[in-house]
Amino acid sequence: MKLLIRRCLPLSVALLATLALAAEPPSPSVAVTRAWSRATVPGASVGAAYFEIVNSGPPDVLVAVESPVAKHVEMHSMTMKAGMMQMRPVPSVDLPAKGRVVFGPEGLHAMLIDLTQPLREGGRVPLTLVFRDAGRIPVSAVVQGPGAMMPPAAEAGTSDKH
Amino acid sequence: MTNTKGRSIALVAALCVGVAAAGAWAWQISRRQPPVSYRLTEWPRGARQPSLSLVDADGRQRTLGDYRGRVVVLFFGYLRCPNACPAELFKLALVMKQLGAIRDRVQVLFVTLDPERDTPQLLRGYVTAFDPKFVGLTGTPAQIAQAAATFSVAYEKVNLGDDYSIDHSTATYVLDADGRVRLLGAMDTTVGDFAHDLTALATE
Repeated sequence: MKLLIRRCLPLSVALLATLALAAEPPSPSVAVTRAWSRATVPGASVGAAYFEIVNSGPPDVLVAVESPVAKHVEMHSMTMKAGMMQMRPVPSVDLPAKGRVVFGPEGLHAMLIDLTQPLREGGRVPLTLVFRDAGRIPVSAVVQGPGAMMPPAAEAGTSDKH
Repeated sequence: MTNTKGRSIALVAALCVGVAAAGAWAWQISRRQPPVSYRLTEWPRGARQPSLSLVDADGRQRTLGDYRGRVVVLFFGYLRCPNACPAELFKLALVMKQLGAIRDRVQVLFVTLDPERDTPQLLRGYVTAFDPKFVGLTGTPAQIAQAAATFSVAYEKVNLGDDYSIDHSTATYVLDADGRVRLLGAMDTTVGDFAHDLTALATE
């Protein structure tokens, strides 16, 4: 019996420790990187924000994007159909397990509608990405020049540490 | 003997004339400009010429005739367009910088497809932020529809709840100094290709 306890105890402790680790809030499996936006010019009431979502965990869903610089933010898709450029709101974006979703000028984008302030080159746009499971992930998008079509070169605009 | 001499002189003279003619012909050929090979898509020659009647930021009626003598770069868009329109205007601003002195012979025109929201004042502020010489044009919905039709531009207002978006084709049209459509640019046409073709057209 003593032997059994002696043998089992370390195992139980190890098991308990594992369980405890598993019960802890999981280390975030969703990360948002390379967030950027484009400077607006006078007369522009909308802007766009782009980012990459890297998911190292199970499937998740991006259900909303929020930002204090716009009255509302919508996720839009951009497609070319029969030579026509079409913008359509999308209610949510699926994030595959261990997958990556890119928001960029040639496809999905977060449309910042009715800006409350102009977006100035070199500034930052606070964004909050709301995921079904991963919750709210804040990120700060780098505002690039008015003609920028690519994310900033450096690893700027990566999700804030939590 | 004399006869032979005379014949030689005639032969030499004929030869000289021949060489001179060949030289003149070669000189003519060398003076002739080599045909320009455009990098943008060429618009079919002899196609119907576009015409439009719109309003500029000062409320003046404008037709394409007002820009005769200049190469015109024209495209359609709207201010609530977050991607394509600012990207194209920014690209054309870079093209203008590359043109140097020739830029005075090129006029960029931005025609709104959203006359309800894009007032002349808003349009002016918007386009001149990219380049002070850019001109924004608007008009009544009927004038806009006519202008789009003359360039075979397709567009459609799409209601999205209490907002709307405008689906539209995204070509950029280049007209020569006589007002004829000559070239067609696309979203992915580079600054260098635009600058090359506009220079060729402005100096032809």
